[in-house]
Amino acid sequence: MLAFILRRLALAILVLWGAATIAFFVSHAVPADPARLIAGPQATHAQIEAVRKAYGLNLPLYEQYGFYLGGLMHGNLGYSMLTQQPVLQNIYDYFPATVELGLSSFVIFVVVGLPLGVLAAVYRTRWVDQVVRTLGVAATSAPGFWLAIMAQLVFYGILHWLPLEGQFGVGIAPPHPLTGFYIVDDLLEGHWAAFMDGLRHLVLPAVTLGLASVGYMIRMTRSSMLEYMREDYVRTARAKGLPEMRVLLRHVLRNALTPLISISGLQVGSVLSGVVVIESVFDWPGIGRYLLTAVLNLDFNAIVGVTVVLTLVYVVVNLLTDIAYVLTDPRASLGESPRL
Amino acid sequence: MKAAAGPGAAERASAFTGRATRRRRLGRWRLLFGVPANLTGAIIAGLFLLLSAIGAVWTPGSAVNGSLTDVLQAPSGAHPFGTDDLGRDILSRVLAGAHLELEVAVIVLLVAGLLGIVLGLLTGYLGGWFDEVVMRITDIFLGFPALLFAVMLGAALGPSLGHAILAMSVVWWPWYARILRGQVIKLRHDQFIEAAYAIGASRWRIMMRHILPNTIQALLIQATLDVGSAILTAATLGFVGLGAQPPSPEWGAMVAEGQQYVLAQWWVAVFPGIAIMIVSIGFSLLGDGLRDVLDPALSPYTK
Repeated sequence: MLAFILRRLALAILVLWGAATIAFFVSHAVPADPARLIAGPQATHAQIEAVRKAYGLNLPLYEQYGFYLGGLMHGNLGYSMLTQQPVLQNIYDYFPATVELGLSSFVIFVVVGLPLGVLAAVYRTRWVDQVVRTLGVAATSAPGFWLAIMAQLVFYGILHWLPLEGQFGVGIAPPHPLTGFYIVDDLLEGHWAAFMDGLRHLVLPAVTLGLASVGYMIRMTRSSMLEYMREDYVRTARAKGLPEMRVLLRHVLRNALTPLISISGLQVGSVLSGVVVIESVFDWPGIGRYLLTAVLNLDFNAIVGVTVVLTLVYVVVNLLTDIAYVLTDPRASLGESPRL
Repeated sequence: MKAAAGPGAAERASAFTGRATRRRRLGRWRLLFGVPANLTGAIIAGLFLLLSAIGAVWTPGSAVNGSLTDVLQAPSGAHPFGTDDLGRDILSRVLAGAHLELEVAVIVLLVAGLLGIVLGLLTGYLGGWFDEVVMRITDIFLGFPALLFAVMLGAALGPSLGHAILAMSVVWWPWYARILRGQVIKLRHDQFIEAAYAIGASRWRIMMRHILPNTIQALLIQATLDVGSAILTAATLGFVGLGAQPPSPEWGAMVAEGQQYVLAQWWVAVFPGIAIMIVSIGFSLLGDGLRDVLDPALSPYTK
């Protein structure tokens, strides 16, 4: 098992290095003149030269790469052109909103996906199964950005149930940052109205983000359930007359949950891609909106910084879910990969 | 019996048991199209191909030139999907866009598929350090969210449909290399490969004549499943402004154009989005169905 964990760790470091390297070369070697990109389209020749010097872009590429990697090791992601602040500071400021949104979407992912997957397994090959399967495919196939806009149209434009965008309403002051998560802070500080307002703003982005990958959850839950439903001990449980509900929940579902741990790692990847568009549509002040703003303004330090940090998050979460999976099911470390 | 599942095997066998094989093959088609979900998928995919062919040569109105007297018209007999902010007929634009989406998906999947075939065959068959290096590269690519990379590359190269296609191809090939490699490793120790080796067939011949044809099926299933996600990714890049540029009738870019009007003129953003969703659903269902029928071992739905 230790060998498995070490191997996974080495792989995680390799992926991080690879992603950082790709990000460097894409931003420094692909554009014909990165200094011109950084300085902007209206920059004069002198300004471009100044940028070239300030960013060390006049050095040979391998030396720039060395400085860049050295900076990364110390958590130095450079300055953002757009905000004139360190990229790391920007990421630190925008990250809590994304985590809040991501965790909420994970709740949706589990609360919608798990019961539907169980239903599909219990009524397999019957119409319930077909309906659930089609719903899952539809949720996965709908473009996230479009679903978000449609949610705004229906729940804000037509029904007036939920706010259009943003993280809190007009006249609601953001809480003192304790945890950095608005709705948690509101609750801790006892601002009930602000908490409800935050929750109402959170619903649509979280649901649209969670629905994007709910199809995987349904599919994996279903096949995992079916796998364990064939076990001998399940037949034994039925034979000794346990109620079907108890057999399904205690004997099948409990075991079937284990392989689903690695699905949560997958959900993180989907969230990290999804936040870029979802946060932009809902004007959610998170790291995805920050990245897209950086992209549209060619703020390369910010683009590279966010990519590296998001990759770090993805790699660490996947490493942890893999380890958690092996700890709960030691058989997995013998196989190639615990991924379903 | 694995060898019998390969393409051509059925024809060879039919010399002996023609009628039984024909019945079995018919059974396969019935298995595919007898399931409502699969049939729906096949119909959607077929209609999409047909409409993109039509949309490439003919649309009811102009997809690019609008008329300023018809700006933001609600759906009507003259404009079933309404018109956009430049007075262009949205139905025409959706039809013309179908061709564009299909083109993106086909190019990306062809490039990724060919790269995947070459690298998958080589890594799976040769093994050794080459395999190790290529697989670690795929680990890196699969190890971080693909959309982030595509967005980054799009920003570096400048926004255009061609660059979006390039970025997508770069993130797509590792999947195919992995699938091909897995298939090759599974086949390598099969008896018919050993037999070919025993009668003195060259490595090249074994690879091209015996292994490759047996992997095509898995590749086709994956490619069918991926048409939808390729279109989704292209549309997402188009939506954020890194894909097709105006006035191109790319569906994602059209949704982006309609976003600002959605609360009053819903039709501008609604119809291109529905088109993306339906096509994506269609290819998912068809791909799932093909996998159920052709390769039940891979399917999560045959248990």
